[in-house]
Amino acid sequence: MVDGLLGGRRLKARVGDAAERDAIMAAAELAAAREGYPRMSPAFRRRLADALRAGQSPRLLTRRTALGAVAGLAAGAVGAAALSRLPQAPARPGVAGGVMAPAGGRWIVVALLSQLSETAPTQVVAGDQVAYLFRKGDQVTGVSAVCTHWPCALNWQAANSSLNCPCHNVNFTPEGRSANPNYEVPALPQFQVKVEDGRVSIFSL
Amino acid sequence: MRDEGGERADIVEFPAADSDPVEVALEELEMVYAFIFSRVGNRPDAEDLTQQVALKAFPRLRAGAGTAAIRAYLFATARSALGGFWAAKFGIAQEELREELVSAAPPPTHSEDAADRATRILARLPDNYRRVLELRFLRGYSIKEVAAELKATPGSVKVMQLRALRAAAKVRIDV
Repeated sequence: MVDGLLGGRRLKARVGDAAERDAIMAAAELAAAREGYPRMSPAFRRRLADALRAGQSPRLLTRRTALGAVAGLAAGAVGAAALSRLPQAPARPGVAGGVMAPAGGRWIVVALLSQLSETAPTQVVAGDQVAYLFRKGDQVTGVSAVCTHWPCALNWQAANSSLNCPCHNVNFTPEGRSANPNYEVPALPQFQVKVEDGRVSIFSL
Repeated sequence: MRDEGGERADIVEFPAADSDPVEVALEELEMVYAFIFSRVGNRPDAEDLTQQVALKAFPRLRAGAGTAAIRAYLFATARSALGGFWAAKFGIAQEELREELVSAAPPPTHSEDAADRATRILARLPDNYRRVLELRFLRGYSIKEVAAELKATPGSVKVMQLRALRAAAKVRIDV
């Protein structure tokens, strides 16, 4: 198995006990170390581009229809308090986050309002997303619980009221803004949050 | 979208109006690929999984999310794909996999790449284990070459390699 990995071939794993499975995963990670920071090969990148283009529907959404669809989705459904806290979203990709409005998303009840503390955020799972919810009175806001720099789970640091990424020690405010004067990272995406009949829902896939 | 105070909440659609959505996606997918490669350790599997993530995520995200949101979703999808990959390889249910072993450790970055991480993992191992893994994985020695270097038999090197990998598996979660 190790010979195959070091030869750049597909991983062939025998089914073993848990310790052996762990060892195989460790071998795969160590084998990856040979490439440092790997990038897609030009050939694969071309194949992937072709696959994405082939998979696109004939009618791509325009900027106007995309904005309209999202605004329509959110109108009347999102707590005004949540929206009023949103930071200015960026105008170009790769800079910062905006509001999570994934196509095909749905409202998912994640907690009762009474379960949320006002002194510390609550981490909740909705579909395949994890969020931190912040409560102030009857108002609840939510941001992604995954760092935007690398996909590491954020931790709440009560001492400085920030969300901290343990991978590179960067911080975010409860509003999701980067709080690193010398090391700006993209803002955390905001979740749409609504509170109805004491139940807290977020919009997610 | 307006709140009660009339303040507009911006929403950034994906992709930006003046960019090719596929090119935007490919830039994001480079990071996904690096993440997946750092877990599976070989290009063919990394390419299959990256394509799987790309095809799943691209149609769902191109309308109506910021780039950071896209990144979060792409990595969530990648972690899920990795879980499926290992479960299929091992012939077990995905729930039986230990989550932290699949994906919790941070992926490589330009400044601190996988080789640095591997070095830190190996630094926590006993000397003989570290030596055999260094020679095999970082220097690319064959079993026979390691045996010659360590003045051991190929059989004993294989046994030591397995024990060293088990030891590495225990420390890699904390590194």
